[in-house]
Amino acid sequence: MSGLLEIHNLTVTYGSQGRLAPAVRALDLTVGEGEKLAIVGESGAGKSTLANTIMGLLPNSAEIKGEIFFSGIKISPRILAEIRGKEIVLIPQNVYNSLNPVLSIGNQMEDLLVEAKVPPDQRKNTILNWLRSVRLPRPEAIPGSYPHQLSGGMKQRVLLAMGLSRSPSLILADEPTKGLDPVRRMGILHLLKQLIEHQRQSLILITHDIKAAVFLSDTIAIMYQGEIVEIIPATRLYHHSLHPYTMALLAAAPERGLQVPCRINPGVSSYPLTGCSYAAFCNLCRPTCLQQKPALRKVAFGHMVRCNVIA
Amino acid sequence: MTSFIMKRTSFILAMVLLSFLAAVALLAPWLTLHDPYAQNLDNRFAGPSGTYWFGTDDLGRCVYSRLIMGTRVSLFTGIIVVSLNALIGSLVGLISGFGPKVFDSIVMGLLDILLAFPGTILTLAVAGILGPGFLNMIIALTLLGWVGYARFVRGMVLSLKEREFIETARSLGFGSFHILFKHLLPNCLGPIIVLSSMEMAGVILMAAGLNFLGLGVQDSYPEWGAMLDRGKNYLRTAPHIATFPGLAIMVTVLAFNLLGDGLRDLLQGGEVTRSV
Amino acid sequence: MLEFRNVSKVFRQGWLKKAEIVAVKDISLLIKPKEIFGLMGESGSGKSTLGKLALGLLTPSAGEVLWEGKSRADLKSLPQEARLAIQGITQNPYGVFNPRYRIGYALAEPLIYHGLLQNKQERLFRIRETLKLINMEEDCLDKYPGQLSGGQVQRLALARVLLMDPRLIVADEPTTMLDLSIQAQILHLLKRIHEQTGAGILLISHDLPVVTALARRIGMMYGGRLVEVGTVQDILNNALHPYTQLFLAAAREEAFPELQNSSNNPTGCVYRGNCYRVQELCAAKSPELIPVGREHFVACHFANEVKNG
Repeated sequence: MSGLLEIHNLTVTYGSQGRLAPAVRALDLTVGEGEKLAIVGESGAGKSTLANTIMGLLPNSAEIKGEIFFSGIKISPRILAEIRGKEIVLIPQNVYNSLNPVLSIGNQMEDLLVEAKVPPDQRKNTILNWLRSVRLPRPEAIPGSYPHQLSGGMKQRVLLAMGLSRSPSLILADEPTKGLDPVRRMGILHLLKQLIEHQRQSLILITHDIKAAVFLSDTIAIMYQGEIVEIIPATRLYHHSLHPYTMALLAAAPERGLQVPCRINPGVSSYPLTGCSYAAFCNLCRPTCLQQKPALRKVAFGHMVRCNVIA
Repeated sequence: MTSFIMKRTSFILAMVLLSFLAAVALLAPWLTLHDPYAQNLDNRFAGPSGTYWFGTDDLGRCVYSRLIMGTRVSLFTGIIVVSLNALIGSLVGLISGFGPKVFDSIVMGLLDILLAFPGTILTLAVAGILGPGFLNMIIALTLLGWVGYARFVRGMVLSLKEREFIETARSLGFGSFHILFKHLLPNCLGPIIVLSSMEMAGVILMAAGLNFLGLGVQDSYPEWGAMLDRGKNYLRTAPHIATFPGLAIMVTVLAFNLLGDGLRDLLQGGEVTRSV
Repeated sequence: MLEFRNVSKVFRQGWLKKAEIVAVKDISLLIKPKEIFGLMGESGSGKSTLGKLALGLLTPSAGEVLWEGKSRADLKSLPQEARLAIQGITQNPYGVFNPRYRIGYALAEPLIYHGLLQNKQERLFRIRETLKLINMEEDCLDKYPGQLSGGQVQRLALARVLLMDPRLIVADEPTTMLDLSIQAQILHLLKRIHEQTGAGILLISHDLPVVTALARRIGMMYGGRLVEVGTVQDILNNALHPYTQLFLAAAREEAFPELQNSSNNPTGCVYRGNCYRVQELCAAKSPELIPVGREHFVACHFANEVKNG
């Protein structure tokens, strides 16, 4: 598989705030052409930092080490500025702040068309086609309305339409299902799946919703404390996952009986400097785990685990 | 990092200047060289010298000693007027923002009417009608001064009211009085203090202005504005009479402005919040 | 025992308050003592409004909210015990604590204010006991809410409510903003509190697994109306309202619903714009909750027909 996006040994540290712990630690990741990858983790796992690093949206205080290649070209801030919004598109988490409140939807969409040099007489039609493609009801009424007149679900679809309008080769979706009720959640997941499969685009889905990850992606990467602890084909997640953290995460789901009485995520700031970062919470922990840092090792086809005991 | 130091510098500088001024005000009787009221008509308009550090005025009084005593009046006026303004204004703002809507509408209507007058002119007019005197000056300066606080605090209360912890306080069964003074006021206090320290400069300047126009304290009393007023007539012949009070006013106003800036920057980071 | 009797809540907005938003319409519901009742529905369906009406944070525009048979319209006239009987926790635990106060004061404040435990030693003892119940260390008492994690603050919010010894806890999306592992803890905790203190819980959530893990009965809301009420088994195995069916299918990832039409129908059934069994009757008449089982009620004109095949 050729790598559309390749991340080598990426470490991101938020420096000046007195926080020494890197948010992302020595991370290697490859997303192939047409591959759909989900990055699953709890808050503080570093998944948002990873997404922002790829998009070049980190604050200046963040220190980035490592290399990111996109289509074989090493990404620099200048190149990133060129491909952001065209080749790589972010579907933001916060739909409420992502549209300009004083411009109509049509106005904001037209800006994209002007940039893409679409002739004026075709613009109206193109906009309508975009809105139809994300299956908004009554698409002809949307361009004239302002963001506050649309519901959260409609805004999310407008943003999706704007994001996909440039036919990007990589889509980064940040928590698209957060806070949605089941009906809306399935609606957006199904739409995303259809759109992406139709255009054969690559997807990175950032989420804490394991079920959404299984539904939408081929591969799932479980992140814990800035590291990827397990990479597994989505179809194998429920029955073949091996890392103790993944197992704990799966068992914590209410439909699986709320099996986690103790905390499995210590939060943002603290993790051991030596040994396995999950050692303190692990039921398989052995003395070696406290000293020896486990590497991500292959256990089956497309399945890698970072654990001293299992792999 | 530089902004961090900047924040502290303005605050530290303000504190140094203000401690100095406060010390001068407190120790004034021991710092004077001469009796500030004693006239020496043989020695009028004397320039700065070893005996009279800042020279003498048109009645031969020691400018330095009067300046020192004047520190008390200026700071005292500032503190009294600002405290009164902040107290009245905050109370009105709190009740207006949290109380019944009818009360809010009436108060806001009144405030709008008051604010429609040009503030300085109204203050001058009131001071003119009441006549000179320390108490009258305080009244004139308080008459409109609290309005700004009232609007400011009301605005803060209106936005705080929407915060969940106020709603939770109600569901925990707390009464309005408790919510007002235990939950709303503490969250307004920081900005009120910042506003007060910035207002302090304006009040001291305004008080000096009133004195300059002869609408302040008694004429013989050492007050910087009044001294400036006397000195302006001799600006060509004896510039030191006006210069030193002018400098004193400038330094004090600067100190309070710096304090306001410093406090604002420091208190901004005071509320420890965390995104979920 | 909490009873909603024909409760409606209308918010008025805009110029001269002409625009009306009906958040909750004509709800009648009885929540039994010591019951865990799950209130479900999409965002904007009025389930949170119903929770706020129960807490007394909103007053009904029409109808009555009753606790132990007494109206809560005038809370001040009630004895303290009845007044404080219903307490709530919300979605954003950071929001419910005043950022200026340490946790220790925040926990003690209601006890002092209501004169529940005047003795300082006794108060500290109760607080320590409650901290043990929620698995928190004592050192959190000296911290500010911003220094703690979301799960910790949510547990402390629960602790503060527990100190008031409530008979009913309104939990409005208590786990939506929390991680899965912390969600599990909070749900465990709610269950344990229910078992130990006998407090009833009104659990408001759109997360089906969360509600079914705790609740005995479920009420499904749509467009401000209660469209179906029943035991968890009734709802899971025998849902009869078309919206409940769609909701369940989506939660089980079996259906791929499109974006819903607006539920803002002034007359007739609220769901008729999206309903597959819509007929003329639905536009003319709003359906009442009709019994289809012992504890199972559905607000659909055709519920009995569908049930009987």
